[in-house]
Amino acid sequence: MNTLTRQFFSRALPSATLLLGSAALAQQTINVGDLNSSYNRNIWYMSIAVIVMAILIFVGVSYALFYTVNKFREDKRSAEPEQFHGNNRLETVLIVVPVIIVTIITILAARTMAIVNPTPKDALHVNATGAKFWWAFEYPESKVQGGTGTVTNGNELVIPAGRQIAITATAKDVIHAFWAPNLGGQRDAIPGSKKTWQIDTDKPGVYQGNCTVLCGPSHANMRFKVVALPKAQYDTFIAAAQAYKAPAPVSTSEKNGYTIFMQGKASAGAAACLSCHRIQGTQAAGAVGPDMSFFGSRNTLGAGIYEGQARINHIKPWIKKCVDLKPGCLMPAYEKLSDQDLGDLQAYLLSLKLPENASYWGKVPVR
Amino acid sequence: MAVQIPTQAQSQRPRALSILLDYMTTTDHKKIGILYIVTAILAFAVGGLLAVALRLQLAVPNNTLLVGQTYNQVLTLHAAIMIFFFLIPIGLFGFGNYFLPLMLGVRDVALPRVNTFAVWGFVFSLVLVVVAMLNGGAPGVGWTFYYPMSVDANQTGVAVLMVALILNGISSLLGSANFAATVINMRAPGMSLWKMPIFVWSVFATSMLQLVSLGGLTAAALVTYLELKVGVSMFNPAIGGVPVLMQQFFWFYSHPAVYVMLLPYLGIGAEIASTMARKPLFGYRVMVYSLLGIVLVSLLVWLHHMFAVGIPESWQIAFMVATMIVAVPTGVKIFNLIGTLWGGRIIMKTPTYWLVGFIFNFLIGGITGMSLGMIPFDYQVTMSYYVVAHFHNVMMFGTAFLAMGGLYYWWPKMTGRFLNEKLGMAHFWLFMVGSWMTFLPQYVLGLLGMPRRYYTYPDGNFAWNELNLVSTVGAFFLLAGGMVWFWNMYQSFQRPITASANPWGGFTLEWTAASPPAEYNFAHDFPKSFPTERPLYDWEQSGTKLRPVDPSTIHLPVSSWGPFITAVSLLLMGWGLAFGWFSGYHPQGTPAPQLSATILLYLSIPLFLYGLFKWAGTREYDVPVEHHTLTKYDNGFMGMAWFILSEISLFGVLIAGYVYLRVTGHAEPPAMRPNIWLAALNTLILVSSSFVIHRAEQDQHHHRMTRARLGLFIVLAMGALFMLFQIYEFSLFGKESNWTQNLWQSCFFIIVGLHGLHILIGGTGVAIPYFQAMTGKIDKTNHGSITAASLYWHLVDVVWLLIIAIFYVW
Repeated sequence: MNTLTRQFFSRALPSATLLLGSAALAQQTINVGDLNSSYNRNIWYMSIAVIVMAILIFVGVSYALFYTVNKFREDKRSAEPEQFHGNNRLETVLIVVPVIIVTIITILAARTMAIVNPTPKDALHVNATGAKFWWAFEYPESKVQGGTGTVTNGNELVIPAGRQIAITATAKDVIHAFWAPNLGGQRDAIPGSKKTWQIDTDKPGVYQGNCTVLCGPSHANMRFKVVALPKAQYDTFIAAAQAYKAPAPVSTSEKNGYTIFMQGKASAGAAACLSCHRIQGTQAAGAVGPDMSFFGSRNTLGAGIYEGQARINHIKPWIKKCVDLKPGCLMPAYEKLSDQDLGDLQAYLLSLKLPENASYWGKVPVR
Repeated sequence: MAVQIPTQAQSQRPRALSILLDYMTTTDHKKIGILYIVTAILAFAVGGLLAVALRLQLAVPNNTLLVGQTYNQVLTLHAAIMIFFFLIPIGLFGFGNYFLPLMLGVRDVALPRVNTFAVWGFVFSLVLVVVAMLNGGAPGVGWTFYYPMSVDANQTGVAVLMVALILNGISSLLGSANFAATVINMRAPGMSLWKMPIFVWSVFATSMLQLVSLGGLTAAALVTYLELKVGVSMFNPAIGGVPVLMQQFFWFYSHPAVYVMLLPYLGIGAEIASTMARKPLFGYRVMVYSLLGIVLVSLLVWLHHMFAVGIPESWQIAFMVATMIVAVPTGVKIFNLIGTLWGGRIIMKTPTYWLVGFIFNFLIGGITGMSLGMIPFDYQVTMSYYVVAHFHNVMMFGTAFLAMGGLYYWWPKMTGRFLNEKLGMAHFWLFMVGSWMTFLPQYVLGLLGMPRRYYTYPDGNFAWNELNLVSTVGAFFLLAGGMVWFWNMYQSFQRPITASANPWGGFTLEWTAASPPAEYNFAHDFPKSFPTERPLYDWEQSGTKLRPVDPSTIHLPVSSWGPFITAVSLLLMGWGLAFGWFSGYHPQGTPAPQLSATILLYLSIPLFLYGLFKWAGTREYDVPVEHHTLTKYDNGFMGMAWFILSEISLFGVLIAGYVYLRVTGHAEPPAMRPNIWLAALNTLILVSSSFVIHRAEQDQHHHRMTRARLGLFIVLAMGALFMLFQIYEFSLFGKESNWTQNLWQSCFFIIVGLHGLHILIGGTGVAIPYFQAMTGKIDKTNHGSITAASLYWHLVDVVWLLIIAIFYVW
């Protein structure tokens, strides 16, 4: 029954909606009815009875409405209507029945809340911090080996499939909200407050997430990816991430990029990137902008607005003037940096890679 | 004097001008109602065009028509205009002002000049929002202006939105208090509360709801505004404040506001159903109890907008229970509408179609609303397009359909002309199909993970492109429907007045007035027996006749410039408060006050006083008339008594916020805090002044005018002394420590400062009867405004006692 409903929902809801539009090939299916998540399954179990009642109410009341209007319309009735003021028995029924219905719904909802809200002891804890307009994902249980701090990534959240992930959300500036519909519900990320809840999925894959509280000009550009890996692969990733030390620059280009990153370029009026960005295993420890430690292993740029090749193509324009690519972006423009310098920075950033076996892209399909 | 030979052009122009002048000074509730309706329809047009612009941007992925902040500004204005300038005012204040006195069989509202002031305050709050766009940009924070985005240095136009909302709120409260006082004091003799038409009940219930809840919005707007202007804050997490507290304040009003946007329309729907089905209402009493039940329970459900905030579970469940309960009376209303149609002989004209369309659409909106009440599901889809679809379902193709229904139903009464049935049907079907096409796909979009308030979306998300495109096409159906509607109204005015007094065969008193009604409403008096809420039917059955009255014996309140000038001064003051300040001071990260706006701010104060005293110095009626009120209290007192509910609510919300911050340990008083001895002295002053004004009121009542004048003078002097001490204390405390860095101090300045403002307002209120007494406007038959001023002064006094307890003693 479990797998049956799962299949039904993951196929039926999208194909039902597909009928409304053309059959364009979709790269990503975001869907609150993704029953690979225990959260969504619980909602589904809660909803079955409610959906049935809703359909009955909808059909019943609209039938009553249209039957009444059709039967008693002027052109079908010439007699002066009977002047009655109500019907106490019927009115009582029409109050008691809704009271029963809402009582059932309330109990179902409260019961489901009791299942989905408490944080299980064995959950994996992740801190999600919203900022204008990106996400920092920090693994408080995974300390960096031989260094300070914990494993942190920007805009790409890597989780093990089949395990409850307890996310603790907060925000640096304004209120944001974390929502990955395929994995569970939303929670607000509020400055000065920490809220914990769970998401999960049984099915490894790349899932889409978004910010859902209006936070400024680029609210719509505050996306993130959740990469759910099979447990073994996740363990490889997190172990490699804990042991990770940024590879030293090799080529001249990378070396020049490294220098600009660490020291800036006074002649071009460019501040050092490290004042805002962190790269694990180097002196760069800035916490203002996204963590750059595994930048070369990532697949997205600008909080998920560019993916794959488009990401590579936009690294240079991004450093040059990111506001042109993303309204309200807070990173300063470095328009005086030469194309050569930008290319060198790009080369250095792309060299920041996790070991191949620990890289999390390309190993699971986009869902 | 030279003889004027009017030419065609000359006779046209002055006509438009004289109509405008008439509307500026009128105290006629019908003209005021028209003013609300016309403004609301214009606002609907503007808001609708903004909505089409939003949909155009979202028609295809990665579109670049409205990007980033521009999109957010259009979005904010669309919502703010639709809510505050269309859906709330047109039903409650537009139809309410026009029809409440007519349905009660009276010739005006309780406080006609307050009404004039309220309508112009409302119009000017819209003017303020629109004109401000030319100066410093539009707000882009969403109509919900969540903190801390509202105080973000990159945001524009937030201060002006706050000021406009407060001005709009004041007008709204005065209008609501006026309705409540009218209902209690001014029904046709013999009409008991339980014989009032259901629309009157719905306006009465809505007014009470406004009075009790609007304080929440005012508090949220006020604290946000003060942080922008002087840097005090209750929400700033950097000093221990709680951002979510702003949402609590905001939704304390803005959820009940949903019912403010529903109840008057349910009243309209019930009137249409009863008239068109030629039958009495099904379960009149149950419908009234449902109205009152909704009013009560809707005050306890605001947290359901904030489930995803992560408030303690027990609170969430408590509010879920209330949310579910409120569905029961709402369901009753729907069943009773169908019950009213059952067994009737239904006249299938446009108002009926709007009613049936409403019931069907509202059914969908109600069911999806229940789904949102289920917390675990709400966590998933709150802030997604599912919610966007839901609230447009209840508002746009829910209650707005009944706004249309009301317009089609009462159009002959208001204009004496009919709207074209064929155009009306085209309008209806375009709106119906347009709404479904626009919003039903948005339900699916929400389930497919599209968040609300997104200006763009990437290509490649399953079905997003197709659904968004369908939604945009739907918006054009709505646009076409709106154009047909405007054409319908325009063409109707090209035709002669043909409507009879009672074209639909309605059963309530407004249908005994001419179409359009004469200035004095009725050239007859009504029988004193009201067997049911359908007097015209009952009187026809029993053969009771109306008693004609000679219109020349009817006295109406005279027009006055006072309220209009006072409202203009508030427009200027609003501009000054939004863009200027009393000094050059401004907190870090906020723009410096503009000099021109500061000058306007200073100029607006004498203009305000001039307008107010001109208003107070002229009597309501030219000739002494005897006022018949149903209670022993005069209308001024009754209006003030209702209005005071809103002041209690405003202080209640703010004080509850402070107490929460204090109890949870966020707000700890600094080492140096204001001394109790000065506050104790001030308490003595204020409490004694309350006794003095009570005495003065008694003296006036017994016509001892000299003593009454002296008493009022002493009260004014005591108020001034109180203010002096308080200014001294504020300056001292402000110098001792930095108010932007201490939460307790911020709360102190906000709440005690607001009380100080109320001393000024109350003092001005006391100065009015003093002025009236000095200029001989108060005598045996004219009581002036002493009872109202005295009541308000007592309130200020009581609030002070609370403040002593929570800020000085605690």
